[in-house]
Amino acid sequence: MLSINFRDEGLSGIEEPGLMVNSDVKRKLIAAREDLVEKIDKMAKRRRLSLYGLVNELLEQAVRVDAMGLTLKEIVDQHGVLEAARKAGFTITIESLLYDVVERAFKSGRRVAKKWYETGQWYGKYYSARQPEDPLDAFKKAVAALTWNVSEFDIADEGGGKVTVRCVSPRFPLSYTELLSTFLEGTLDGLGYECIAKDVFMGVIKLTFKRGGEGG
Amino acid sequence: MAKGASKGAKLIRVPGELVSMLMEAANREGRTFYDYTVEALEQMLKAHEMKQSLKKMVEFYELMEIQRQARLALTPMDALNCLIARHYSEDKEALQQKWYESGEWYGKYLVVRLRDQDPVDVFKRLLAASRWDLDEVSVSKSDGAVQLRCVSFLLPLENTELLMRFLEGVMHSLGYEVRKRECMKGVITMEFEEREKGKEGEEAKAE
Repeated sequence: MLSINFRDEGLSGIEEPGLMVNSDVKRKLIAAREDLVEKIDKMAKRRRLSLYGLVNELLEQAVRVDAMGLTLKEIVDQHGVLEAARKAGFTITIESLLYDVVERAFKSGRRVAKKWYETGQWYGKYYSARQPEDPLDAFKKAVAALTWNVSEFDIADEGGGKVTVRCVSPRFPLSYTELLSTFLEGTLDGLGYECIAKDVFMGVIKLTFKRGGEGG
Repeated sequence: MAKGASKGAKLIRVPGELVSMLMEAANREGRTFYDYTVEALEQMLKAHEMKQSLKKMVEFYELMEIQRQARLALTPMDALNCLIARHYSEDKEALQQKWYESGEWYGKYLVVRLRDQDPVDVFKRLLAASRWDLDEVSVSKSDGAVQLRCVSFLLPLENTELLMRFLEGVMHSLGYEVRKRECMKGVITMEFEEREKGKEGEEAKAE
């Protein structure tokens, strides 16, 4: 590890070919892992940028993100989660409008639960296909997107083939809580788990599963 | 890239001003500047593997924060479409009114939230970033008029009509009235004109 890893270069440093030198800009040299610098250098060449230009862009974003109280890792991870949700066929909608149509379905007694269960099953199989070695883990990661508007969401492996799903959101009306619970049941079924206990109240879902459902 | 660092490390040139800011950030997080820089480079490569630039990712994050704070939720598209399809024929007017009112609220939220930005421009970027069911979003402004076009190969007719009412509500709150609108399955074309400031004041009084 380097203890001092940057130094003033003033105006006499070696410039990248083709780079305009602004004599007002004081440059510094910073040290970074060689393998990373080489990869970034290749990336810069592919994008027809100078290494200085590309690293400059990176550091500007790091400063911008720091001002937002975040790290670049959080930004990249969040992007990955939402991109996965987009590819998996999720859509973003106004929460109150979603609850409104669910409430209408609930009041009219129409059978929409079947569709939500089947959609859940489809997602279960989708995650099984995407990460066959550990589909439950794939779903856990994807659920981060689903729980955007949820205060607490947890999928716990209790051992012995048992899994517990807990979801809490004070904003959920009962109608939506029930439909989401049905969706989760369908998803776990698609992942190969059978629901053995179910507690659903307004804004609270607790489901217990054991391995051996449809997908198992 | 310059040589001269310890074995396994290379030196790269960066603006001195940015180094000072990053030093502060690293100190705040209780990390060495070296670790902080390495993580930044790693994230840049990860973003590149995801075929995105970090700048675009940061912009996307900012837009999605606006959406999250406006209480938007992620839901399976098929399941939502099924709910809408089952109710639309009977509750068409009520649903359209609901979508319009929701759009009005959202427009007001944008006005309050985006104090120093053009809300029409940001709204366009929000639509493009978060309406994953739209294949094309185009918004052009000239002489107080706005032309808006949305195209989707996925959107059923009922969702297209609801989206149009939502857009109308948003634009109304942003100070625009509909001049012309056309809607068919997956395609919305709308023209708006800016409301006169005086008229806007009268409307507010009436409310």
